[in-house]
Amino acid sequence: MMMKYYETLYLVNPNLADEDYKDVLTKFSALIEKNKGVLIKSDEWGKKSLAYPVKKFDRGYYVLLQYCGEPSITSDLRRDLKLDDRILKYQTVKLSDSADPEKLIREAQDSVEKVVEQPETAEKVGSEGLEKEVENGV
Amino acid sequence: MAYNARSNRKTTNKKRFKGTYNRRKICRFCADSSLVIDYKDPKTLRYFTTERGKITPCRISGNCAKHQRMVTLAIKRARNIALLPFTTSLER
Repeated sequence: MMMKYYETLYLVNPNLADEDYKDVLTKFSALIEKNKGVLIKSDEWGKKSLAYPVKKFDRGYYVLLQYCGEPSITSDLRRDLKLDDRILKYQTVKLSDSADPEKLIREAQDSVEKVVEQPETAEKVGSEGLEKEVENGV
Repeated sequence: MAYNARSNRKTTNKKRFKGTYNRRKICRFCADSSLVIDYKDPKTLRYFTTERGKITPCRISGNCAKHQRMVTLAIKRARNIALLPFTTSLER
């Protein structure tokens, strides 16, 4: 079955206790399942410093959700993110109009396995190479 | 005699000018298709902004129109979620 593919990045209050933070995570991933969506990937970036203060906070937890579902899922998610005062900011982006959730889940699992297989040094070389290219282009 | 000397200087100046202007930058994203423009990657997007956080025009960054549009969209998305600054205030 083809569905729309969305991605939501939201910012959580940095001063929350670990339990509250985990509560937020489970709350919003459960919300996607409740709205007949398919959660493909949920990624925690951890506590990061912000480019500008948001609600007088200089830092925040970034959480990325990638999911498939009907268009109404985004409005439901947005409403709950707005009402929850532990959320500082959120942004939803449509990644593709028609995607097959089963295929995406399989791809996500494959990429996780690949990361595990690759040693850490290989990744470092890759990022350095990119930076060098950027410098050369000046 | 004096007139000739001046005109000579002019032509040489013009030639030098042309040489510096004809160097056309190649779009980085066209040259290497493995590079992806993603708003979640502020590190690479920061290269396309000035020190004050403004988006650099394509005549300076060397991007083609298509990729410049994608870069601006990505920068604006990154700004919205506080990955990139809208402006940087001058701190005393």
